[in-house]
Amino acid sequence: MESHDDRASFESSRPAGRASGAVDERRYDLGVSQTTDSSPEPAVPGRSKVLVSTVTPVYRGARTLDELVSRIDALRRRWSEPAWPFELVESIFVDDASVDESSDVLERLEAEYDFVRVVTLSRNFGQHPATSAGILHSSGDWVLTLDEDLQHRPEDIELLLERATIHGSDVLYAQPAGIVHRSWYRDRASRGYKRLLSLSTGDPNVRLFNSFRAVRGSIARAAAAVVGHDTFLDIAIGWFTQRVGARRLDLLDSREGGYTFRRLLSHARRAMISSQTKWLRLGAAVGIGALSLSVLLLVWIMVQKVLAPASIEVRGWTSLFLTTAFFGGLVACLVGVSLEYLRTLVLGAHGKPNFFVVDRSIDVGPRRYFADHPLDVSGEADAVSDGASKAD
Amino acid sequence: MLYLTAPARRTEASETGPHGGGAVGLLFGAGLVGRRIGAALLRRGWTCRETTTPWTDGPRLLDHLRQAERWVQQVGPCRLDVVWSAGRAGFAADEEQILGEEANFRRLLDMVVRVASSTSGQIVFHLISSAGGLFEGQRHVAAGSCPCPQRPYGVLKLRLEELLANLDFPRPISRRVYRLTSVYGPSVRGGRRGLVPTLLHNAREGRATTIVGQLTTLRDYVFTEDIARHIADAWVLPTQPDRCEILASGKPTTIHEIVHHVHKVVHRTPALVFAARRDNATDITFAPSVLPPDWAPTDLETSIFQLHRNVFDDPGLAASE
Repeated sequence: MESHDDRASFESSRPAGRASGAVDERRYDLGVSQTTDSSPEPAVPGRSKVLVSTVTPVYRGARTLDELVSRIDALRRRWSEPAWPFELVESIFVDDASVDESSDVLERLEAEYDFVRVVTLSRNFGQHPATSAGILHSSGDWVLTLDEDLQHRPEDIELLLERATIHGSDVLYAQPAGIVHRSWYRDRASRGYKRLLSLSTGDPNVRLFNSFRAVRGSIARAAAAVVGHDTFLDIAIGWFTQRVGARRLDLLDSREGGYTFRRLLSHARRAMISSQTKWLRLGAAVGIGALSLSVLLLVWIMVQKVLAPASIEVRGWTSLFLTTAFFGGLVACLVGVSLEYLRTLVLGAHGKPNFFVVDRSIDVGPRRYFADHPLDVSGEADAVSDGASKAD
Repeated sequence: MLYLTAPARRTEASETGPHGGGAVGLLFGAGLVGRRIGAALLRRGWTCRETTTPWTDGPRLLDHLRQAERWVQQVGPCRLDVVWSAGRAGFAADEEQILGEEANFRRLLDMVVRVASSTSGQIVFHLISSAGGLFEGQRHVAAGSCPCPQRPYGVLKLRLEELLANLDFPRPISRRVYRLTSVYGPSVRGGRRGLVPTLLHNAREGRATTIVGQLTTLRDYVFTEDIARHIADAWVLPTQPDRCEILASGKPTTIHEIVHHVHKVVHRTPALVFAARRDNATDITFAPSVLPPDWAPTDLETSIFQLHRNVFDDPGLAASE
């Protein structure tokens, strides 16, 4: 049955149809049916523009939230220009058991701005779970995640979206163009930490991870749905796409403390647990190597024993060495195989999908727009994106 | 159809008619939602008698409605709540099914008009409508959004709302319209089974589930128990001004997320088969700002656990209601 045809025949035989004119004649208010046919709103809102949601986890943002929402609102108003391909439909703030007056501020902002939505978590779960919760409450074609502290400028959202749609990326991370933490030492430590994680997890995109990111809505929600308590959100996103890019932006961490060593360790632990941890296979490889070597040596010694027994000067040690190498290698090999099974089970439990279908056709409109009205004219940004492409 | 009678001890002023009688109810359509409303009222002490309504047989249906009318008149002056939660026509309903449903609704309205002219108690009409049908293809439905049905099913739901709103009753009655989003709950024998129970059943039995849509399709899912509780609460409240409410969760949910929750509950990966139907893959989501202030939906994960426990782990609990 083709519903469109049915609708046409139904409406032709029954004049009720949409009956928007009848809405005004009703004896009582049918709730949301306030709009009449004279409204300039499209018949099916949301079809003409690509919808964007923002998600911000809030822990200590009482001082900055007013300005953040005000700047998002300004962006939203600017985007109301008919030709602009995006529409910011909602800004979701996840109150992660905030420790200052953020809850009160958010309550006020939600009452003041109709696009602001507050999701309150029952306890402090941390930044990634809070971001996941926000993403799961979003409905946008693109989801932008940004911090509460104005480190991430809302005005840069359009630069991320432009880059993502032009390059057909599913995820686009902001990359700091300069010093972020007011200290070259901390910046270098941060970069070194990400490189180390990238090496140990075997995921080259780890070095691009940043909490200021644009993620295709369907992928963001899929990743947020499967992400577990100890799963690193960005690694879960990587299970659904390899089209990961980055763009240089001016980022400045205004937090006084920032990440402590303990939190960095915790991040590293979660990244390792969530990732494939390919280095675990090293154990199996070493085991197979030791096993193979012991067999080869055994053959060599047997040949030596038969053909030139006099050449063996020390007796007994060879057998002991071969036995140890053989059984040691066998055990290491079996442990490696067991770890492979365990890894498969853990990744399955974490929700790593067998496949995922994505629709990127919504990028056509924005791509066409940005071809005529480019926002990003810097060559530096391309350098970062090229690096990301290699990582893909 | 359910004939419902309030417990005598609950005949408080708020529930009674002007002559101090009790409260009775007629519930048409004891299906996915209607049956849960009945169960919620039973938990509040109401008594219930069920009859089979001959929906497809016009003359017999009229007899059936006359019997209901006589029953109300025999009860005497009291508050009468009438619920229309009937309609076997789903999203894919054809024109014939829809015309039949509208004709039945008109017969019911005629009956209520007759009851209103022959009795003196308060009358409250509850119409279960469909937010998904009215706002199909719209995302982030907010206060300014306008119903724009995309298929006969949605047109029908809007038509029923308008019939109720514009009908001239001989005396004022209270009208309440509930626009439901994607509903899930314990399935009823012979009735349509929603996505969540189907996934739960099939995952437990190792069968594949056909998804008519895409994993990324966004919908707003509401639990039948929440709806039933909300409407049952309205039954024991004093008659209020006419209302039209969207009963949604306000949280957009992908089918992928539901599949993941089902996996966690059943401890098996649901096997999925996809049917390519783009017309059924449109997103329909609702802004939390359109939800009624006294509406408290349960979160999806909790309700899926609850549904699974009631239906599979403790069938006696479900049957007892």
